Amino acid sequence: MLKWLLCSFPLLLCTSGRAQTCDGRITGTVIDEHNDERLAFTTVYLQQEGRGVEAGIDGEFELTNICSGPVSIRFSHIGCDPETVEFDFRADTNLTVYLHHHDNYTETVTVTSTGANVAYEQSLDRQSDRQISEVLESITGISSLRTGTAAAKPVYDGLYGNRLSIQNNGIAQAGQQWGNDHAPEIDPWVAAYVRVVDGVDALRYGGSTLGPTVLIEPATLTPRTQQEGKVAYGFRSNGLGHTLNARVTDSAYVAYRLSGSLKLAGDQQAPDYYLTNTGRREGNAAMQLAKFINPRMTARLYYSLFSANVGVLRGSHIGNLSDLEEAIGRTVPYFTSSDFSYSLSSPRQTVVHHLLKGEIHYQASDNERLIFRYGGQIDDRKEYDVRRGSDERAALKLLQTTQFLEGNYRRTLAEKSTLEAGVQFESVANDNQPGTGVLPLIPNYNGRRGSAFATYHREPGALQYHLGLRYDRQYFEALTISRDLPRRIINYQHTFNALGGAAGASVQLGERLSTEIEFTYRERAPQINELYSQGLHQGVSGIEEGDSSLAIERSGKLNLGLHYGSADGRLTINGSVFAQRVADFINLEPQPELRLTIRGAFPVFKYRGVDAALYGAKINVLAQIGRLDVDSRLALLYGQNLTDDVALIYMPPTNWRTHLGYTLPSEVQLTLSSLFTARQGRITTEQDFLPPPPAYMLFDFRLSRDFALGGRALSLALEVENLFDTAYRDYLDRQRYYADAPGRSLNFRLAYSW
Amino acid sequence: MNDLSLLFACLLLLVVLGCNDSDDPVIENEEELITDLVYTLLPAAGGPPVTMTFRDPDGDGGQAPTILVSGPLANNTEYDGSIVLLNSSDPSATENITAEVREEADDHQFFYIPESSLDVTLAYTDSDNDGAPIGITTTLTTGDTSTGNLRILLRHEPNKSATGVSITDPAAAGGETDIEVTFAVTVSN
Repeated sequence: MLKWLLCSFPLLLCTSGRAQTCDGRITGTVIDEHNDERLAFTTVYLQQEGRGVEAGIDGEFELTNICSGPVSIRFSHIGCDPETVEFDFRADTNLTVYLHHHDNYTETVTVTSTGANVAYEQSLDRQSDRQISEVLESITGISSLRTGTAAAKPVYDGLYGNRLSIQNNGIAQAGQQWGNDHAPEIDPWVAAYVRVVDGVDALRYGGSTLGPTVLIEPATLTPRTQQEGKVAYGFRSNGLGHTLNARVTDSAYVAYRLSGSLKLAGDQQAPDYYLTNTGRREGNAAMQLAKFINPRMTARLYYSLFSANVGVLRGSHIGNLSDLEEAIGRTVPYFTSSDFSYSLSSPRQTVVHHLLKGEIHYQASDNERLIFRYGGQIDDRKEYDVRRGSDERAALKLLQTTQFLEGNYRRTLAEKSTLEAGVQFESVANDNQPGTGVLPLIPNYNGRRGSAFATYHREPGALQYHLGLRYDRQYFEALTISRDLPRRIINYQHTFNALGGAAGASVQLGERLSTEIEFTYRERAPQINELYSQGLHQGVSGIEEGDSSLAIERSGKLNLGLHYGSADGRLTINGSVFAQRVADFINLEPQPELRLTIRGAFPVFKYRGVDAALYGAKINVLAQIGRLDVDSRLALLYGQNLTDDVALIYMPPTNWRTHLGYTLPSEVQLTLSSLFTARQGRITTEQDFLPPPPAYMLFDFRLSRDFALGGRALSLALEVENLFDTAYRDYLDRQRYYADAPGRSLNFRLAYSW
Repeated sequence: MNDLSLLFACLLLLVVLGCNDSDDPVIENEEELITDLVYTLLPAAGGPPVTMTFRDPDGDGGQAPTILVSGPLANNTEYDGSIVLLNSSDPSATENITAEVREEADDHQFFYIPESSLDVTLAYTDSDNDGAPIGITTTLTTGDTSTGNLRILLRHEPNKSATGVSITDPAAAGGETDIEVTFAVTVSN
């Protein structure tokens, strides 16, 4: 028996019989990497000869009349990342193929790796020096809402923050999700798979969302996990950034994986000046354990630590409205230093995030599975402002502890239908730590949420359909401090009931074309910042006030999709459109009158429920033309506040990303990437301090080569980001009032894996 | 199976019980808060002072601030001006913030910006360790009878030596505005 390790998944290959010419046979079984279940109806495609077969309901397939010589077989299955297996065919062969399948996900949104030659996990590893949100941008329809270089958070179909939940390894990422200047505390190095689910698939996840959920998962440990490891070092010329990553996987008494990252970067540079105080220090670690107790029971444990110290552009820290007006008019931001520095001073943020997850899988019978899951998180965030007293004293100190418990039951019914149901309980305590000398923007609060969901999937054949229901009961207790004198504590309590439901179907129209339709109804309870924010939000130079009488948001979304896959797997086109109407869409709106304080006048922003409509379209084309890989993605979005008949703010403008990959005969890979972002032309002058910035286009160029050293691999990459050193500002960057985005960066990356 | 259910129930209980902390928050002592500004103008030649007061004891929210000018300024007169900043959010322990500003004089500068219709000229009479102005004390000289607004600014971490910076022009200095108040001033004869 030979063991092959190809791409990111293990493949067992057995050979038997004698070598023949063009009457060979390849048989095999396709199995879900997660739970060893057989994957029915996988498309198995022999690329050399342009023909294929479909695996049976038991996951088994057979290809006949195979000629001797190199063979390349592509396995694709709904809900999986497609995998290609290449080997030299000499004799009849039996393959066992493990696909990374996401339980019952329909292909609403699927991430495909850029360039067919790059395994999915590897393409994420290459981006380990970035923030997680930037990595997510590889998903069609995701943009980043940024605070300069300090923080980026994902926006999907126009939803972010409280409307887009993020699942970190199956646990809703807790933390201060309300703050647009707070990035999700997740290290991209740990993540192996990222995707967005919507509709029925999203109903099983907790967290605050109006439908979609971002899933970020590490590679799963399986009973087949073998010893492997990887170390990588990356250097970026812009900010003189160093990134060191390491990962070790092995099986001893348990299967385990240990990962760690260290990052150090100094001031970033826009084309014309330094972005003073935009350095960053990060140290992250993660541990994954899996114990396969018996064939029926598996216990898993996961712990991750994310710890970062992030500088915020000094020139973006301003006082009142007149300061903002002065800052806007400048060519070079205030406090711009002429020298590079690694030092971090105020304003800056520190965050330490712990996540502990424990999980027991129990296969009660052949068609019944139970999962018990616990997730605990501690999020310790401190923000330091430039202040009259000591800058070393945080102006915001929040400690949040979150506990999550889930019981999940899945039953496979006859005829490829599955029923899944679960109950979840989540408890949150968010406490401002004393000693800031400032009244907190977000009050102390405790929250509890009880949830139940059930989904049903049926995949009988060409027509597949699925439906689901979810119910959340959310309780909040807010301990606010009065703003009039004498200061006193006022306790408020709220209970919200939120319902969700979705139904969808997909139809296979012939061999190459499939279409799907899904309708989702979701309700979202207002979160604590929407109810009780009170005070000056430095980042936006405005006073933010919550409204404790807000009602729950109610949303209806219709999604239509069309997929085309050519017979040889060399052309894939995914297109989708959606229409979403939201009643009581909680919108942060500027008030007509400025508030006079001793520090001058400030705009006041209040939360209000309005009727909103969102429409969007996404197209994704993947093509292989000879040695050239083309990956092109276009996303369009339209968001409107129907109550006031104005555009919704922070809606990503039209963006179009293209990657061209070319492999030279010398195995050097060239990649040219472009990003075009249109101007957000729908925002009126009354809606913002500054009109949205003009459209821009950026180019990246990359050269990489992998060297095989026995069973080991060394990979080298050279990359230029923002090739033409374009000075630009992005509408979704809240620091566009003050400074340009970073300019060109020359990056070098070295990775060694075994 | 039953063991697992029991474990689940225990964990649930633990989570529910473990998080019942309803401890009241600490009401922060906002020692850096500035609630009151008083600009006192004493005629150099003697006589009753004119005071300009901005008071907002509960800070940003709550009640609106009160702004008061005690009376008109006399025309063609020189006044010695001085600023007092207070934190009166706790009525039993009013704090004087002026001293704190003086201690960090290098990091602070007041600006006095009269509207063009208001015929007054201002000058600094104090300086920090580097000889750059602070503006806690000033002179104000009135010209002809006129009316208009006088804007008083306190900048934190300005670039005091930036070109173009003067008592009436903070634009090039940058920094954060800690105070910006406006008084309606009358110069009469």
